[in-house]
Amino acid sequence: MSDKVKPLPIVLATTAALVAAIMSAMVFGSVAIPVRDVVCAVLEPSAAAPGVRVIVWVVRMPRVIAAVAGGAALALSGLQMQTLFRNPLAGPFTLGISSGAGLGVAIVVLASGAGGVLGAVAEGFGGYGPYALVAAATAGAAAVLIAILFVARRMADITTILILGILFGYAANAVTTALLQIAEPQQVQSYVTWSFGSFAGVTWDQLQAFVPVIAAGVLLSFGLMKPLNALLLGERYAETLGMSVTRSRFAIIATTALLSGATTAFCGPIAFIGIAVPHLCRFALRSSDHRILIPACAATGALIAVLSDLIARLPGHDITLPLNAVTAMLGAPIVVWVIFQRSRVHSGAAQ
Amino acid sequence: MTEPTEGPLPLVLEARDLAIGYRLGPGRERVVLETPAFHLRPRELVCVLGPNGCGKTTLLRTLVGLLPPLRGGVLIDGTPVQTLERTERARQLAVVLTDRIDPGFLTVFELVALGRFPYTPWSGRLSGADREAVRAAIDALGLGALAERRISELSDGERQKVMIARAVAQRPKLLVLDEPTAFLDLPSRVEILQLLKRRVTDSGAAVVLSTHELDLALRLADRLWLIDRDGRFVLGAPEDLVLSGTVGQAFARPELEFEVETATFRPTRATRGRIQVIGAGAVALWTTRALERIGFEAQRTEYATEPRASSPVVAITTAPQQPGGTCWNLRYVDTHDDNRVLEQRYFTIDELTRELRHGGGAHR
Repeated sequence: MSDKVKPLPIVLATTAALVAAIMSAMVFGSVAIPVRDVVCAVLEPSAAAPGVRVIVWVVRMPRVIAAVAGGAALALSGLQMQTLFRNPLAGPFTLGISSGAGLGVAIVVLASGAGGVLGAVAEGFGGYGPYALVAAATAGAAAVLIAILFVARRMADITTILILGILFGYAANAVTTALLQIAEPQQVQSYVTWSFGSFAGVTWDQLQAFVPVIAAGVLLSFGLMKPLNALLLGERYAETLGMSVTRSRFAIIATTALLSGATTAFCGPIAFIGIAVPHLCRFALRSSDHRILIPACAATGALIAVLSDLIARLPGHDITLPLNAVTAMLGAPIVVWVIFQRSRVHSGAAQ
Repeated sequence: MTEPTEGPLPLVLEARDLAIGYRLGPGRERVVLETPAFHLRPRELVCVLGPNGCGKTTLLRTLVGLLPPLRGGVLIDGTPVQTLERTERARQLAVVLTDRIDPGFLTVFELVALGRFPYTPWSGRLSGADREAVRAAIDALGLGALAERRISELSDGERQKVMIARAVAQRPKLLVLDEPTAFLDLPSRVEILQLLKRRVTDSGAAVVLSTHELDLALRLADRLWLIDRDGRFVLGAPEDLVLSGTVGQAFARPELEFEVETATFRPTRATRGRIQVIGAGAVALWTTRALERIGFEAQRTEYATEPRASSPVVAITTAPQQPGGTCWNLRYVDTHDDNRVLEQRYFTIDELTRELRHGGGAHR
């Protein structure tokens, strides 16, 4: 008996939910703007009231676009890491990308307060303002990425790459912790704020870099559907099917790093979306086929990110929650549910 | 020993004076096995037999081009396997490994469809011809009813059939399987090997598999590639290798010897002296085996003989009033009691062997 899910209703439901979430994210916030006013402000900015125009165009729209791009990116990199490492707990940051970015941010945050040449350079980038942080996070993520790819080309065993990635992450975290120990409280505060993750700080200028990079990463992910499916059998079988394991592994790690590195650089290390969304998609669609999972994860990742950001804003209140607190509160139950489902599937197989 | 290569059918595989093993570094290598020239024709089923660690897996990996040979070369359909482009190689050679797989939610159809990897475009989309090949492979392995089932719901034997169907869907000229019957129960082992023999070779592919199932290999294989413990590679029809004593030598142990008549191994250590078994047919055969198991040198005869002090007699007779319908009469000479002949009767082999192992009497 087949328990296959029909894809069309799911696609329609996800699309509808995504549109509704985006609409809600435009409507709700510290002040609620009626749907009609939002639509008018989007279609004809000059005709809208200045306050509404600023909130819609400057505050909310870039934030929603960043959430859509970042959520899709994290979910896709999580999916690819889980398949590549054949490990359900793998995620976008398994290879230490976010730790590298965090180290870069910590260095910039610390340097901008210090005097001397480094401080002057950091001040020149605008202190620990948004651009300096993005540049620092990008540099840190790229450094880890280059180290991982260097290792991946030479190591035969995928588990070795996984372990080295985790160790790179620990090493970067250790340096970050040491740096924060000697930092001023104000500097620590700005690092901590970055580490909470946020889609709020992304500007239109930054989106001009962020969105094309993510779009390229998403396209590359679609190109990897076939090798990812072959990897379901393990690397040795994939090799006998005519796949170049080293080349595919390199492409998957590079694509993942591009997606998660760019997202971390612009939005901070956002947890749980990358781990939870692929599981959610697999279990909702009851499929391991990447030709289904890649579009599904991109859409669901965007949906969950927009929803998390909406919840983090606490509509109607002036305070906001850290984004990572919300993604964890949404994500943890999903992961727990997946663990129960897995054990049910496995005991079902034993009968 | 070199095989003649002329014949009516083209050669699927041709190996020339291979030395296989591993390169440890510049100028340093570990030779696992050296072989004479050998070849494979379409529809041939070859079993590779040999003790653990003799190089079976290394040989198979070399044949499919996953490991370069140290010397010599493997030709697939006339082309050196090492020079085949990887997609082309996957169209000619399919492999079933011993790796356990965790395919998540994949269905039987989806997994078998991965065998079309070397034929599908970048997206992995299946054409009509691909779907047909997948269905044919599923049907060939008798999995039609399971096509939409998930792999995680299948038994080990069914999973192995799915992996073989995936290899068949690759439409290879040569299918190589590394111990396809390991981890399976006996009926599944027989079934898998028979499917390989009857259905897979139907597709025109040659099949090479490594196995420890000597008796099944002797029955099903068109030829054996035998690697003995000294690393010698011998090939031939199973019957030739049995009659020449090659099979017996390859597997011989001090405590086991290969009996050509029954193609089975029996314990060589007869520590309890001789015993005669009077009877015929299956009952006599299994009685003999039981007595050999507990350390007797059993001699089967169909004519009644008298026990001697050195060799007791087990006479098998029918006993219609008993549940098993058979009884075993043990007659022996009691040397402590003026060489009187004593007789005891048992109704199962278990009772008989227990008595002989633990009971009193001169026959011990």
